[in-house]
Amino acid sequence: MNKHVGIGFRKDFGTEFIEGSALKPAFVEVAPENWIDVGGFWKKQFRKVAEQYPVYTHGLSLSIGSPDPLDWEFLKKVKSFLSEWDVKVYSEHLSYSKCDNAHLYDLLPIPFREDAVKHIAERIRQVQDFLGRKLVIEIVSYYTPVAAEMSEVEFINAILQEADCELLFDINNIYVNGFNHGYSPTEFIDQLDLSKVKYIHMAGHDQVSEDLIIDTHGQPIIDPVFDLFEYAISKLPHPVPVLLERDFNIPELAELQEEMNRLESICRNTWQHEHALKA
Amino acid sequence: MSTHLKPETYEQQSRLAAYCRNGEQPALDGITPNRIGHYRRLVFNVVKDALTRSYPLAVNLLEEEEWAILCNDFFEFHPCQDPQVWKMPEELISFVQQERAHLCEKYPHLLELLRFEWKEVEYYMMPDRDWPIASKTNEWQDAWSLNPESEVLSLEYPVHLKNARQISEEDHGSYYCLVFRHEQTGKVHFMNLSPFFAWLIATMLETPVSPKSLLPVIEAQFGISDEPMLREQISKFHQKLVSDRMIR
Repeated sequence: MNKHVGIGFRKDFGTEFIEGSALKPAFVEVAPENWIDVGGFWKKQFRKVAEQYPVYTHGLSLSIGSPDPLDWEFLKKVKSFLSEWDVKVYSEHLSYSKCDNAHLYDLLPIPFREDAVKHIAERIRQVQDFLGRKLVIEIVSYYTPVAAEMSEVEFINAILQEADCELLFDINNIYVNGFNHGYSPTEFIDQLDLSKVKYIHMAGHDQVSEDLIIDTHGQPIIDPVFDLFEYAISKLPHPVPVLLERDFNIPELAELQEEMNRLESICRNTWQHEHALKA
Repeated sequence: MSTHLKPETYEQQSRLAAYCRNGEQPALDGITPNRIGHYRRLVFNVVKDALTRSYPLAVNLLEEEEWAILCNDFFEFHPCQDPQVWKMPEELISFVQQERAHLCEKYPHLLELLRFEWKEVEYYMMPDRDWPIASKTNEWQDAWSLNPESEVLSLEYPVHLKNARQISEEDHGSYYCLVFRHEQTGKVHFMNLSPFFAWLIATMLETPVSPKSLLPVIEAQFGISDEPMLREQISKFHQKLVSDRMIR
């Protein structure tokens, strides 16, 4: 059993995971949107999972960066879901997926601007007040900036400060963004407000051209991202849960467990060392 | 809109979102032009995949180009309302009905096929419903404990019986089909029904009553007064429903 590392629970391998013993995560993560209002076979399966593992969530449709109003009816359902399943973490993307009253079902990049910071921070505070918990926002991967007036790291730090929310530290996304936009991921990490980190995501990606990586979650984690992970967690003030995301091109579960084991091993080595230093 | 967000920032966000829906090159500041197309591709793939997974029979009925154009038009002209992507495909039905008359003329059973396919998704996924308290099992004198996750569909085309490509105007008529979710497996079942049994199940789903208590109505509506024959037929039907887990 892993102590720190969880797995994104996917229907693609749900039954094999529940009935088998190939995967031994510390927790599971789901998108509430995929499970709200669901009954029948999949509710039974989800119940089995939730009885066995702590449940973390990673939302898709809050659209915290949208110009549109927050969807309070949707948020009521999210709140009910978080309560029903005793969810430990509710995380979401620092992006927008709805605009002009139309859902887009994917993550669009927000203009890195001061007015957007204030707009989003206000919305995060409203969501936090309503849910009675901190929102954990994720640094998303993006393929082009749009109308940026400040740097990405300034934008993220400003939101963390103004919204008083927590950070989902997606190491793969930082690697992808560094590659796509020509900056150093380690320097980016050094500039982030790491005191806000609540949770980490790790995943693989696809390089589609010489200068572009798409964040697909469809491949194993590559070694440079493992290295960046090791660097990143050595900077954290305390241990946090780590998630392995694999959404497409799913391999044998034993292969996922091997990736989780490697992450777990890095966590143990790094954080045991940190504790030893403190002692 | 928030008082914080400047109109020019909103405009940039709106243009990117519009581009994802219509594919027309947007006027956006500070972008990497050869990368913006990935957003349109990624967003549209999510929508088209969700539609294609929900309506495999309609995909098979329409020409490949018709389906591609329908998906494209739906996403461009219809503002998707549901935050849950798996529920979004239901919105295609009203879009086709209201905005794509030429498809409904070419394929008169298309709308019914879409509704029929959506029933399978809806019933497979929908929240659990409580069963009525089971009564004694005298199928003649007692109300039946019917599966609450069920419904009788009234159809004008036999979309539940025939390959959609084989259905023609000659098939136009009255058909009835029981849709229900199997209590144990969670799978969705469809059962062709005669008009009489469709009426009987629909009536009993609405109000728990015994077949015996419906005798006067049955005689008035269906002209059936042979009680022994009726009891025998209802008993056989009841057994079938029990074996299919439509009745506890």
